[in-house]
Formats: sequence, structure tokens, C-alpha cells
Amino acid sequence: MCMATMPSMTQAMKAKSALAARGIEAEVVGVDPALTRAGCAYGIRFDCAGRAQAERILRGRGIRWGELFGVEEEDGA
Amino acid sequence: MIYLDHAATSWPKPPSVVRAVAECMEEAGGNPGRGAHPLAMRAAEALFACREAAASLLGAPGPEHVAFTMNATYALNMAIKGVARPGDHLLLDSMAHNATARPVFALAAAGVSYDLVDLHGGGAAALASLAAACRRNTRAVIVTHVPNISNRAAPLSEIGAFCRRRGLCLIVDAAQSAGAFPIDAAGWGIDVLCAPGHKGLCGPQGCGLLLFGRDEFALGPTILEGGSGVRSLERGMPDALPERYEAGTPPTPALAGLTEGIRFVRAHGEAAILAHERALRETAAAPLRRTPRVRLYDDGPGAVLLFNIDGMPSPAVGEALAQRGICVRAGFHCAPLAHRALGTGGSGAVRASFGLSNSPGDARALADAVSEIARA
Repeated sequence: MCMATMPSMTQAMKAKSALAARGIEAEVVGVDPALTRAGCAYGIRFDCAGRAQAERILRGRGIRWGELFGVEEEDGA
Repeated sequence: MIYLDHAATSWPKPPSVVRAVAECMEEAGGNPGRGAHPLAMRAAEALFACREAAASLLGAPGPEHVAFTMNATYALNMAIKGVARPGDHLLLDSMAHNATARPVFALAAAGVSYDLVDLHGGGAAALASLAAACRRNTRAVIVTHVPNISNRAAPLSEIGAFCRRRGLCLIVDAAQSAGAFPIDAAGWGIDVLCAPGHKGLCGPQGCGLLLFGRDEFALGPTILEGGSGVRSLERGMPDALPERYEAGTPPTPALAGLTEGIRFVRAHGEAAILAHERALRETAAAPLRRTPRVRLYDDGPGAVLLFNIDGMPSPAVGEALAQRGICVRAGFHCAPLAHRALGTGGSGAVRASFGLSNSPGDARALADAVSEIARA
């Protein structure tokens, strides 16, 4: 899975909505504060297979993100 | 009971609004943007839905351009005090409600000057007033789109174009117009539009909108700081809209209701709502124009009927109507500047304001009751 950190909850929701409108399922998640150095943050998590398309969609909608990186899936343990 | 005080707050609320409030409290009771557990996420989704609905109805560039406040007054304070600096000059609508007048008066004590301008006499007259009053240090124009005791709308698109040409900030009080008049904040060049959720937008009390019409516009320093749910290790509020202007927990259930209120408005259409209200107002006004002792003010088409009965203080008329089961508002309506402009600054007036829930029978009942009181 991929995760993009977002500047706010609203931007995360907007990104999720924009991706959903183009068929990419994304989930808004809390981000480890250690990753942001600024404290609490939110991001969107989606399948890395659609990463390039997701970046195009977000850029096209003027939605800014912080970092975009791969994350390990939880194994349910 | 006949409710004719929709300019104060709309009532009854659409059933979908009431249901949405209850459902939000039962099923989305977390704190939005505080945590990532399911209840907090559902609450955040409820807020985002409201931002999308408000942005779409009022012409904001996007959902992030809609910040939530407690009411329109909070939003106007944030906008006006966020824009003006000592040494600045403001142009204030002469039909202003205290929600815009008092923040300007408070700033006047801190080195901000202002002038009153008449913006409700048509496009050419409004632009002439603005041009005549504009100074080198004029920073913003503060417009009451539709006053709370009058039916005359300010020509916002023309005022917006004037402000763009002069580099002025345009702040709009849409307390009476949001939900009743079509509004295109971005298209009309409005920098900040402030609206309550509980009037024409049919939402619950306790929620309001601070809506930004332009991407590039930003207020100065915030006037409210606190938790925002993001960037919590920093000392200041985050830069990102709308969280920058949302300190503390928002009224999520009220905003869930507001979303349904906006959908209700969209389903009916602002033009149809206004036509309905204007027709009711005329149904009441027509017989009263011929009624001895009854004096109508600003007698144009709209949702508001402002009147007095000669020889009776307006609160006494309001009380007599209340005894007959008719709810109106008498006095100065928190708008002494507007009353002065209409010639009712001495003793105020009685205001009946119609809404979508009213019927022609309600309007006729008002006319009959006022005539009966005037004959007594």
C-alpha cells in the first residue's frame, strides 16, 4: 500500500473523494506523528498499483500532499 | 401558531435536518479530525459533506474554502478583524446589522477609520457611492447582501468587480440571503462570505460559515487559536484552509443537519423559495396598504414586511400579535444603522418575515390581525 501525508483532514477527505471519483479506492488514516515532525497528521492510503494515476489525479485537482511512500500492510495479527 | 420570524431563524426545520442531527449524534459521535478511529472518521466525513454542499451552493472554489464557525457573527468578526490593520480605512454598508457594524466600531477605537456607504439603491448608485468614499488607504468593503429589515439586495457582482479593480477586499454578510438568493462567491469576486446555518440554509442553530471565494486570499493573523487536529507540535494554527480558522471542536451534529438543510434548499431552488416568500409578503401587504394607521416601509418585493401602527410602540404591536398566536419581531432588530436609513431609527418597527413553511393563509391571518389591532 502507498500512503500520502496530507496537510489537513479536509485535504485528506478531498483527496479521497477525488480518487474515488476516478475509481481509485483510498482510505483516510492517521499518520505517525514521528513522520511529520509537526505533530498529528492525516494521510490517504491506497493501492500502490495506482500510484502514478493517483498522483496525476491529485495534481490535476490542485491537491497538495507532503510525502508519498510505501507502507507495509498489517497482517491482522 | 403562525411563525413569521424566519429572518431571525427558520422554523420548523425540514424533517431531514432533524433526522440528520439525531443520526449524527447516534452514529458519528466522535470528534472530527481528532483521532482516526471509526467514530471520529464518520464525524469527519459528516463535516466534509457539509463543506462540499456549502461550497457547491454558494460558489466556493472547493470544500476546503468553507470553514465552520458558531454563527455568521463569529465569521464576520474573524473576517473583518482578520483584514483590517491600524491606519486602514473600511467602507461599511449603511444597512449594516450590528454583526458587521460593531466589529467595525471596535476597530475604530484601535485606529481603523470607516465611512458608511449606500449600496442598496441599484448598481450605478452603489458604485458611485463606493468611488466617492474610497480613499488611498481603503482596505475593505463590508456589504450586507440583503439587510434584515429590507428586501433590497446589494449588487454583489458589480461591487465585486469594483473591488477587484481597486484591489479591495470584499466581505459579505449573507445572513439573510444565503439559501434565499443565488450566490456565486468565486464568480462575483467575493473574498469572504459569512452566513449562518440556521436561517435560509435551514440548518440547526449553532453553526455558521466562513467561506473564501478566492484561492489566493488569506486573512491576516487568526483571532481564535486552539486545537486543530493537525500540526499539534507547532505554536500557531496550521496554514491550510479551512483548519486554520477552526479552533476547537466543531458542532458536528448541527453541521450534519446543515448538510440536509442545504440539500433541502437545492431541491426547492432559491428562485422558487424567494418567489414563494415574495408572494406571501404581497398577500399580507396588499390589504395593509389600505388599512388606516398602518405604515409600511421599504415596500418592495421580498420576504420581509416591515411596518408600524401609528400611535403604538412596535413592541406593543408585536405583543398583540403574539397574543393572537402570530410570531413576529419588533424593535430595532440589532440593526440601528438600517433603521436609521429607513427612517425608523426613532422607535423601530415590526418585522414579519416569511419562509418556505408559510402558506397564503398565514399571510392573510397576519393582515387580518394587524388590521384588527389598528382598528382597536
